[in-house]
This record gives sequence, C-alpha cells and structure tokens, in this order.
Amino acid sequence: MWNFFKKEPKKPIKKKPVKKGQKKPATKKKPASDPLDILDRTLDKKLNEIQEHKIQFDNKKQIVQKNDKEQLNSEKKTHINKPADINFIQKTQKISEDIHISVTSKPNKTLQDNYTHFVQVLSNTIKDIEKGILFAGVTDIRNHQVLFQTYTHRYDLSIIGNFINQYLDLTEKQGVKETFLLINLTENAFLYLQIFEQHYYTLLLDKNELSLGHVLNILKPELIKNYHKTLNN
Amino acid sequence: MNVKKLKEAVNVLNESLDGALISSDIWSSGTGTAIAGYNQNPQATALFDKVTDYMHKALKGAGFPGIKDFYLLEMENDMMVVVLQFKEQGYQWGMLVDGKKVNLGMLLNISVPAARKAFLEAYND
Repeated sequence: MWNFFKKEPKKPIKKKPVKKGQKKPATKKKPASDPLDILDRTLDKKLNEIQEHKIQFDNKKQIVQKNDKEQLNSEKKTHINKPADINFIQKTQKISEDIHISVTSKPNKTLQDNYTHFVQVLSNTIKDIEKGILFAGVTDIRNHQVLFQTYTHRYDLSIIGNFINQYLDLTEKQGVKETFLLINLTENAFLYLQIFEQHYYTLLLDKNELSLGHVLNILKPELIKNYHKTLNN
Repeated sequence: MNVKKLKEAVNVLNESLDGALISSDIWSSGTGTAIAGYNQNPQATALFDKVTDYMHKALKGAGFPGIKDFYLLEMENDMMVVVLQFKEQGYQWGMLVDGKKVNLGMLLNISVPAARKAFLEAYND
C-alpha cells in the first residue's frame, strides 16, 4: 500500500544561468513583515487609486462639457426660433441693414422709389438713435398697405392700421394732417405712431435707450422734417 | 371708492396744471360712464373708452406688448389728450390739456403722478 503521507526527499533546485542583457527573474517578495516594503506597497496602491480617480474624473468632466455644449447649441437654436417677443429682438442688428434688405427684396420695381423715399426718411431720422429703435414700419394710410418694416421683428401692422382707421373715424379727424400717438407699453417700451396725411410711421422704442423727452423733442421733429423734405423732393 | 376724494383728485390735477386743463373725466372701463371730472365731456368719455378698447385689441393682435399706464395723443392746436390707465381698478382717467400752457415734462412727471396717487388714495378709501 502506498504511503500517501510519506514525504519524498526534496530535490535541489537548479538556478538557470542568467545571460547578458537578460532580466533577472523576479525575486521572491520579501515577507510582509518588512516595514519598508509594506510602506512601498501601500504607496503604490494609493497612487493607483488616485490615478484611477483621475481617469474617472476626466471622463466625467468630458461628458459634462459635451452635455453643456449640446445644451448651449440647443438653447441657441431655441433662441433663434423663439416667436414674437421684444425681449428677443436682435437689437444689435443694424436698422440700416434691415432697410437695405427690405428695399432690395421688394419685387415690385415700380414701387421701389417710394420705398426708398420712406425708408430714407426713417434712415435719416434714426441714425443717431438706432439703438433705441426696436422696430420701425411705414404704412399707407389709405389702404393700410405696409410699405416697409424692419426685419428685426415682424408685427402685424395691418391690425394697427385698422385701429388707426377706427381712431380717425371715431375722432372725426379725417381732416387732420399730422398727429402722433404715444403709448406707454409694458416691457419697458413706447409705441410711437406718427400719423401724416398719407402715411404713418410705427416705431417701437426702447425706454432703456430713449427717454420721452428724446422721443418728443428729437425724434418727432426730425421724423416730421425728414418726411416733408422727402415728400417735397 | 371715496367719490369726494376722487373729486379732490381732479382738483389736484387742475391746480397742478395751472389753467392748462381744459376737460377731464374719470370713468369705468367698458361702460364709458364718468364718475368724476372737470368741465366734463360725456361724448369724449365714451369715445376714448372705445379708443382704449381698440388700442388694446390692436396691440394684442399685432403682437406688441400691452398698454402699461397711459397713452398720449397729440391733437390740433397744440392740444394733448392723456389717458391714464388703472387696469387693476378698472378705471381710466382722460384729460384734455392745452400744450401751449404746460409743457409735457411738467404734465407727465409732476401732474400725472400726483393725480395717479390721489386717484389710488380715493379708490382705496
């Protein structure tokens, strides 16, 4: 019977000779009891942990940055597509550019001269106070055809036209040659309607940029002067 | 609403405008009937009640912001009409003013705020 418990005598382990340039085989680690080794291993472990945390943090940071960028782009798109609200009017857009676009985009060339005239009135009037003009439009008082309006924002001027019609009917002022209507609006704005015999100008003004005195003492006389000057030419 | 105080409010306006006030009416929105005034003009009251209504609808329909607290009309012969809005209270206060006798700064920065304050005091009394 085999004696399973019988120990065979240990054979001596031959060390392989180490060739030149060849790494030494890994030496057996020192026993855990060596305090320097324990410290070394602990430091290695901690370093690894820190590196792992750093990698995780960097990954998260990248994801957050990506999300932020996507959100910003989406907000920008939403902002552009936002419907009627004066808060979203592109104030920085120059009225003169609008005027140019408006004039050149009108297909009817026979009316082009008229547009140019009335737009010129506006352009001459508002050149110094461009910042305060949120919207400008010119309408024919007889048929309420909108001759021109800035492209910064589109308002339904035909409705304003109906109101002016009713206003003129009600006040029996059809004979009146020139008048203005100033409405103090919410959202820190004035609506200024300068009514002439044949046309009226609708201006939406920013109260942050223009005071009432500015509107009535500078804008109004200038608009009237430019209108008559253009009409007489 | 203290009607006696309301009449006093009209007097406050008249005194501050120093002879420039030609006519004035305080009326309830929608009915166009005046409850106090000076040199009252019932036709003008009914008319401007309608004008305000049209204006509200026109501004809303056109996409503009709504009326805040007043609107101003320039009439012939330097006459001006100012219509104050008291939306919460449901009243309007219209006044016909001679622009030759009072400047706009005086009207809008001194007389109108004083009148507005007097109205609200009378209303809340």
